[in-house]
Amino acid sequence: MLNTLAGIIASSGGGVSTSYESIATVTVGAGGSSSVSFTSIPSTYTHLQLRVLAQYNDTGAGFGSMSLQFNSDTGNNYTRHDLIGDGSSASATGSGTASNTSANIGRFYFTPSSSIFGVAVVDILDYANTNKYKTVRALGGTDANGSGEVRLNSSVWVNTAAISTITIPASTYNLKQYSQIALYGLKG
Amino acid sequence: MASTYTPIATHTFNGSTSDIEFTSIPSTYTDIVAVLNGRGAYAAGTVLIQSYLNNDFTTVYSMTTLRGNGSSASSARSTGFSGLPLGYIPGANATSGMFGTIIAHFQNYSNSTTFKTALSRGNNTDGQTAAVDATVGLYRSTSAITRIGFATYGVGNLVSGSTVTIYGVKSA
Amino acid sequence: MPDTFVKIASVTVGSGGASSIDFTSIPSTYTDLVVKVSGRATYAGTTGTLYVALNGSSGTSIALMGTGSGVPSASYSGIYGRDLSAATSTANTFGSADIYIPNYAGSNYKSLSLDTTSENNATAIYQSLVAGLWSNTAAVTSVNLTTDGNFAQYSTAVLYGIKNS
Repeated sequence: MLNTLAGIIASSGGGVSTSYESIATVTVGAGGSSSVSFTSIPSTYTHLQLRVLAQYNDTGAGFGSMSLQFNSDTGNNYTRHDLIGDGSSASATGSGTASNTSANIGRFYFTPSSSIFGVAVVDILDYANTNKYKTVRALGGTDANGSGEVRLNSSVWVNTAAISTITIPASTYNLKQYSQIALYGLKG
Repeated sequence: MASTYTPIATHTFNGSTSDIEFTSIPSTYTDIVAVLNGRGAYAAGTVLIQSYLNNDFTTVYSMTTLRGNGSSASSARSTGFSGLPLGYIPGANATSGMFGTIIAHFQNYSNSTTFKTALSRGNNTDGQTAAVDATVGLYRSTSAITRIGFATYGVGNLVSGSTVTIYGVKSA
Repeated sequence: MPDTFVKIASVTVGSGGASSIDFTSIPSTYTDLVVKVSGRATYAGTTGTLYVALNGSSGTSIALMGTGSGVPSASYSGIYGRDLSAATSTANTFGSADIYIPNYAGSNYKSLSLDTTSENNATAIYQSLVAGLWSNTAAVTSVNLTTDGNFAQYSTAVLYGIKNS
């Protein structure tokens, strides 16, 4: 038996000043979704954060990569770098833009029927700064009770345009119902 | 503007207990972020901190971790745990005054359809058994989380001045 | 309801660069501090270390790193975020770092959590998970950031305060 803290001191309320704001949320409905998009992202924040809960749908079981594309750019304009713990060893990989048409933010479980969802917290600093290419940093993973991995992923989108659209593009698998991607803005 | 990032509860240890549980967690947030800053009283270089969800002490927890100890990197996996390992903090044998930090994200904690996955970062710089790690853990229950406990694994209290706070993050 | 996650201050490096980014006179009214850094070093290499000092004095740290091919881990006699992008990395590319300092105004030694990455259009970069320690019981009133060389123009850092009640 744990010692119990009596009382909860706060509840969500109105009228506060905060630098951390929710912009939009996508929850995948029945039937799943091949892709997810956030459009018309306001340029009034300094940083963006995505908080992800996801599972893919497939007939087998394993792990599939989730990636991001910005402003509908599907060209070879992204790098990918991964620091990986797979439960038995640590490793790192990297590749330049010639190899990548999206930014990698982690690998999520795919399965025809399971309640196991992976998570990621993704930070995109200075997303609207037109003097910079856009660096993506993501910490996340999936534990599948005997398999899984945890990763620090990073990418750069070699474009100085302000990010106004974020797309999780269609992949080999569909996102499953109850997957949720929430977009937050931080003022700076 | 309604608050997106809200403190739900906080606890400061007085040195006489090894654990604390937050109960009656409202379901109105999307994610819970927990920040623990502390030191264990057990006579070891490090102490493992575990989380217990919904007062569930059965072997329904598992984890995959990535760790660096200041000289080499490693990864490990465990299944059949009776708690969710979050990371390590200094123990009594660590350099005097040293505290460690664990930051844990319990994503979509209040849904009743998925198993619950937590993502944590552990930070312990004790020279003998230092560790920086990232861990993803699984609680195999679809129940909404209404109770979150934090405890040392095995033995020993948390020293006076150790703190743990849970915040709610609310999406649109 | 008090402000919970609030910007305290921000710095944008102008033309000519900056030898340091300093947040001073930090109020003690928050519980934790978060610093988000989008930075590039002027050092003539592809990466430059982010050095963190509190109240003008350094600490220690251990890091787990990914280099695009290897996974070294190291201990340092300073608080090092490994790394930011630097002068010979792809133009316009900036590293990304998060620094979390809980209980910064408390009377215990200060523990830090850092996640950092440089970036480059190449295989090799530095990503890191870092545990830092500032062995001082004083309240943190300043956060001092430096890098190899200087911070390049357009580098930014934002300091946030998080309040636990």
